[in-house]
Amino acid sequence: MARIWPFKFASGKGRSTPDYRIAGGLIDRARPLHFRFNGLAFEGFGGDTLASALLAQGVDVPDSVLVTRDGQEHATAITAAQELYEGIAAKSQYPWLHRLLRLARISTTDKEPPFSSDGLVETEHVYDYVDYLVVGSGPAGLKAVLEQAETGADVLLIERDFEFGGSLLNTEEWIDGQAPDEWRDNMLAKLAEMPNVRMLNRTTAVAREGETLLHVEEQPQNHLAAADPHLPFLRLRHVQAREIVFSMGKEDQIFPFENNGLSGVFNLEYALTLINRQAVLPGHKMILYVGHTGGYRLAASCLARGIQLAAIIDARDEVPTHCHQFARHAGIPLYPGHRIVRAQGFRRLRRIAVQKSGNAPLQRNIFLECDSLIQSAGVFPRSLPEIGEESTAVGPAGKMRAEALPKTRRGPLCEAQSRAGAVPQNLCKWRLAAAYPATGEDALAAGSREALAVHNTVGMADLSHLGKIDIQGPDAAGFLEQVFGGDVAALNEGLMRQVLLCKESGGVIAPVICWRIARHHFLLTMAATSFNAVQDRLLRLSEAEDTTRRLRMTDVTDEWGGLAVMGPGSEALLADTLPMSVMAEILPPMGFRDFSQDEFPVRLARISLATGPGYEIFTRAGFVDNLWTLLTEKGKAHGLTLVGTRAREILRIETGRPGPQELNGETTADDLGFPVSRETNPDHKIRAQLVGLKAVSSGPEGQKTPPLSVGMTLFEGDGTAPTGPGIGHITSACHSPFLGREIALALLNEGREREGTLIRAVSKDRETIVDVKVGRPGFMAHKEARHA
Amino acid sequence: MPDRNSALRGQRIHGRFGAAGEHPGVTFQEIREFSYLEISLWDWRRASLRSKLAELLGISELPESGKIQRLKEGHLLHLQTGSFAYLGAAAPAEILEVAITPEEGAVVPLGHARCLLRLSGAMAVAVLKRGIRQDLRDTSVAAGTVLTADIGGIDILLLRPDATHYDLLVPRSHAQELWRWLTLRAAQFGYKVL
Repeated sequence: MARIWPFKFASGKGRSTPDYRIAGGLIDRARPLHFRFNGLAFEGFGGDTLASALLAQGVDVPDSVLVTRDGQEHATAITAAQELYEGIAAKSQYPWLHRLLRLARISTTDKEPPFSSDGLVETEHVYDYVDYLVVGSGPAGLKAVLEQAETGADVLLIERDFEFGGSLLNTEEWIDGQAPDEWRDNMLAKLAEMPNVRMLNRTTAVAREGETLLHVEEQPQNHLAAADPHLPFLRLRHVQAREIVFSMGKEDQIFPFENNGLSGVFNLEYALTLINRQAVLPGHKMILYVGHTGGYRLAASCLARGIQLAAIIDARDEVPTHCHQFARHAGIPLYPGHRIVRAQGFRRLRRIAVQKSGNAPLQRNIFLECDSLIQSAGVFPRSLPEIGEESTAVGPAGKMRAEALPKTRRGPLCEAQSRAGAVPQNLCKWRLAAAYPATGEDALAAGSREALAVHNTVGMADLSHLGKIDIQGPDAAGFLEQVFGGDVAALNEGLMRQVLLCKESGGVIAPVICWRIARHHFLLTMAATSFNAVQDRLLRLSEAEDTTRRLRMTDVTDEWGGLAVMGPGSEALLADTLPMSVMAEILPPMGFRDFSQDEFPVRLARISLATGPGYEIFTRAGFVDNLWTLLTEKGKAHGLTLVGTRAREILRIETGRPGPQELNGETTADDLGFPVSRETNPDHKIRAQLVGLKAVSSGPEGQKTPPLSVGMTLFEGDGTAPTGPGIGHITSACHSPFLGREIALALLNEGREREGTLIRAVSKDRETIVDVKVGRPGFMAHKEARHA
Repeated sequence: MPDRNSALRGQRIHGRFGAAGEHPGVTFQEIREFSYLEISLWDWRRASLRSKLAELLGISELPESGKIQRLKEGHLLHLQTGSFAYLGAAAPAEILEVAITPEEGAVVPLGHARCLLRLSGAMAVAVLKRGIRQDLRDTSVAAGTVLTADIGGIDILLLRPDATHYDLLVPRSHAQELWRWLTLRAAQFGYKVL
């Protein structure tokens, strides 16, 4: 927020006369506070601000300072608002920077988040609901709180100062027959006893949103000598109230004149606060410059304390008689109908140039010596910026939005994987095991070793993060058939089928495995990356077409944990572990069975992979750790290798299964090589089709081919220079340890017609060119291909 | 059946933490063993179906939408019209799973998909107010209320079975993030983990 603070100071040397502290005020002289500013030691009192304590000792202070704690920069603070506490240390910031920021109406205090140590809450949000919110604790605010609280309403009072009382703190005018401080103390005591009243000081309203929502800011640490590790540095409270009562007092309007930002020029309200509350004189030779009768309050306050003003300059052409009488009675020279044209002085105010108002040419300046000028052209009520207005004030509060938590999901096997030495990886918003490196092995090498183990022995991978949607109801089968086409409704219980979820245009959203649990009960599983798209599409289809469907779709991803057991040794391992036979004739390909294992429910599915036999085994998430332990123990005798996401990606590319990279929203089932029942390319346009690529060596025998990488452009293999956009691009690539060469998946124009041909993959910088052989997706892992 | 593994394993440490004081502002407890089912009735207006559900749970009347009905071994939550949830011991859950036929409605067990956290103490609501944007005053969330909410973008179910505590049903895969968030916010009031 761009706060225009009520006084303008530049940092500079100390003022000429050291003692500016006067009698009276609301400071606690029995509570001396020691502090440091720019390395020098000072003393103030309880109730002082940093500015008032420095001004009392004749030190000019900048608008804002850097508060340090334990020698470290803690936060920037507005000097006039920073509460003084024992041991506070502050230093000036760059004065030129502050002048620049002031010109841009930006305050560093409001823009920069406070510093924080690791592990501590920097900013916390609080969502508050009250019947009445009162902003400002001046006499009107306190009366409003009492009035509403007496009706039994829930009332919240906020005050930006560290003391409640608002204007009661800087006036000497009596209220309801009581001195202002006495009235304030009585009122606060009364409110403190009301359980339906909450009062927050050090809390600033920063922005309004509509009629009933206010964003307020608290800095709970800024008055503490030592950081409290349990408190946030900034608290943003979003208060929704039935009614908001603004009682924020008034702000001074300032006069435009040359050099009005010079040190020693004060706004009237702030000068009153210094004199009446903090018992500090703004100067020893003060001039009052006003444009309204209310400005004479300062002169009256000074008079009551026996302080003489050097002059009063009243900009009004017609000054009321009682103002003339007051000035005459107080013996203060009055300049009615005059205006200040310039403030003069080096670094701080020394004198002002005054002229008679009006347009008369060649008016002569009157020069008045002074060390402080207190000005108020008029007053206007304080206002708050509204959300949506062009303002920097909204700052971190923003709209009433929740703080976003990091959305890294953790599966039920995270801890077990960590114990097994997994290298973690955040992938598709899940924390997954990338690989399980052996001693001295890096994650890349581990991925290759794990992928090879799946071909040769047996590997086990975590499937808990797979997206899972439970679909139940008498209309479930019909709905799924409508969505996926084919004969999903005819799928027998205990069997599953791979289906494609497509857009109306035919573009594939995701491949999905559809499990038929019972007549009216299905389960859909899909890659974690596809889950949101699949769920959104299914919900839209189910709601848009028939809202009376007897159908329930539930995200059961977190309910089930799962493991993939893959490779030639998988059957033997499962037969050794599970209480039922898992021989192929009992569990057909793409079949599954439910049974109990050590009293917990297990669902075992036989998934056919091109690389060999594979099984998926699921149980309730709270038991999957038990299953993991059981299989890893039994697996020792079977040469079981734990498999991470790197190895699974290699296996995916080897088997030619499309992943998110291959599903660009336009690729159709036909393009991906799935059998289709209808023409998907009626216009016979050139289409990019999914193919497999295998690097072939064109150099001297034994020379290693360069690696294939995602994004490489494909060109004809006819020897011509690779120019133009090419005929396709690589979408996934890896080194296959099983084949001992570079392989890839690619979207290639008329790809199937090019099967068996040689083309070239070219890097973006055209530095790397690799000859590749085109085949069907997954052809690389086929036995025939291997032998060939 | 073996004990289920906690979603907070390795994170939840028993003891007293945060700001010192005579009494902790908040007490956290993870309820480990519970069953949680969500029940959708296709034809909610059919009185016989409502009666059947009530009879199965041993109550005379189903709670209104957004309210909780205390049962002998758990609670029945009316999440929204026609959509209920059972939270409690395993036996009634097993009965419900079998007794509600697919023609009558769907029953989805989600006990393992959720982590159940109990917050009690004078400052429990103050902690929740730091993440939940709804009005949590007694006038809006009285004892016997259930509502869906989110904390930092994570969907949760907030239950106030009685005036002494709040129960949070949190997605299992987000439980650790949320646990960290809750304990960080509770530190300023002092908290205890049972």
